[in-house]
Amino acid sequence: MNYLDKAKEQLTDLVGKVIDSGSSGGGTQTVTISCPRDQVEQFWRDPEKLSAVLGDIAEVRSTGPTGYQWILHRGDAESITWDTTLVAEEGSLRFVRATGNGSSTEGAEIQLTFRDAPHDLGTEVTLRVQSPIPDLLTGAAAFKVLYRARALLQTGEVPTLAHNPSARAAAH
Amino acid sequence: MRALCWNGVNELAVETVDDPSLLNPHDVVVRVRLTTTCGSDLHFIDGYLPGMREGDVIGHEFMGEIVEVGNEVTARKVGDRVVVPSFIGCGSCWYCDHELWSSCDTTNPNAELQQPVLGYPTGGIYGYTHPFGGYQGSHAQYVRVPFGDVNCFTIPDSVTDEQALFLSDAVPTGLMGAEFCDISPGDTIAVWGSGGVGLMAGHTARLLGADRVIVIDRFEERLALAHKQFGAETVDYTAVDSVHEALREMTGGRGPDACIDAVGMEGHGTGLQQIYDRAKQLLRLETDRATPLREAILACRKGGVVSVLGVYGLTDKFPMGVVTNKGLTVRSSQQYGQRYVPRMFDYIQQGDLDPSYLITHDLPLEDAVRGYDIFKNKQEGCVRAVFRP
Repeated sequence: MNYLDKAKEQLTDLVGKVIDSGSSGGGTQTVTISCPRDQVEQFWRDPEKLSAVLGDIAEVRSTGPTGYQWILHRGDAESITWDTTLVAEEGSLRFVRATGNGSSTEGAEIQLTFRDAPHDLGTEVTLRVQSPIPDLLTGAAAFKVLYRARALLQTGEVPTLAHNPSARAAAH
Repeated sequence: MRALCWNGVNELAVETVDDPSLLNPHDVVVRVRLTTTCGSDLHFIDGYLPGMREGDVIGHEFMGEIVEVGNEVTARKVGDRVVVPSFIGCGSCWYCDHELWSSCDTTNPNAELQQPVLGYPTGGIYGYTHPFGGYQGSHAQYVRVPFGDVNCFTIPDSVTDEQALFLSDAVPTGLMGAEFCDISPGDTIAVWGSGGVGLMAGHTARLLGADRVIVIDRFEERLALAHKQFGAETVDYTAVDSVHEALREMTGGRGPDACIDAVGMEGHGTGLQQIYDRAKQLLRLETDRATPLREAILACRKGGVVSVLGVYGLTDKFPMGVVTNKGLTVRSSQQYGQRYVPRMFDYIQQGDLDPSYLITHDLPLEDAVRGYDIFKNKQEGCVRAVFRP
């Protein structure tokens, strides 16, 4: 193998590692929210607030005391509906599929864990997507949801660019 | 309304766009009275900072008059004449509580675009790429200001529009850079770049007690301004073999106590290194031409401070070994404007600083494309072009 081939092999290997590292981040993200734990936990039980922080990604509706229906928006494609049950455990909330029928979302789960942050900084929230649902809450999207949740809890509003003045509709 | 839009690399146009409106309860809408070019705009105009979209309204340094307030705005009212720092704070998060306003944790609608690059995203800024929030900018008749109570500062009657304008960005950036230098009486501070920020860094370094300020640039009129306004000594880097050697000689072989880089990623210099960096940057093989930063690190005295105000990407060949072996402290940030506004009003009212001397071109907004051309190409002695929508 000459030096050029060796360099190409190393470059290919490096690119592969970068791509792998970028895609393996999954849906696990953590932020600290400067609000009491009770308030933060309650936030995630409220379908309206869930819809507010999910924005364009999904809408959440209540279907019963622990029932939540997620309508996942997929651009021009037809929306996916995902029915879940909220399972509350010590320090965590889990949205799990309501009934097992072998669908593509079988085993899918969104888990939120809560810890008191040190030095009265509030509540540490970790969002984990156990099994990726197509286009939902992986990587950057999970961070976006936590970021918006923190903004809403701390300031009462979600940062938005809706109706942003621009010369092009595409930038709105 | 009319606004200056970015339509592609080196393609600007004044166009008609939708008016901004109140979207959140803490928003205000400001009618822009004055807005100014900033050197950091040139980085995305030239295509070196990614994340602009066709049609984006640019501009982040402005003052004006409040014309609408959201229903939860309590401290500001319609009719207030205000100056607005370029980075947007929420006033509620840990970073705003600690006066690190540009690091605000809640005002960036596109925070997920920044997190992979920076680790943790900054706050939003007007008219400055989508990773930095995607907010539309101030080179327009109106601009939406989130969290109006904490981001709009009512201007005292004795401060003119022209004086207040630069409290939005150039003065607080310069002042922050001077503060980073921990200036003691007798200190010598060197400043690379004599644009608006460099001049304000040098000027405020004087106010903070620097004995000597040395400004490095290649434009005679700007160096003359630095000398006239705050008694700076000057170095024209095109007229010396080495900036480092010139500074060493001017400081008795000791070097400046602190060095401020007010240039950033499109720095100029002389010699082979500049050609090499320029070629790599043009080919997008590196993001920055960091000549002033490297010179500042090399020239600074041992144990000194290098204060970086210039905007950079992911700089190649950062001389970390020099930083370590000389025991340098490197400090940098996007500006914390909200922290400094009251103090800056005091400086103006006491007669210590009149930043309106930065205005060399006063133009209607409709002439903004020409204004940027003059500003970018340093024609007609332009330091700052100001637009009146």
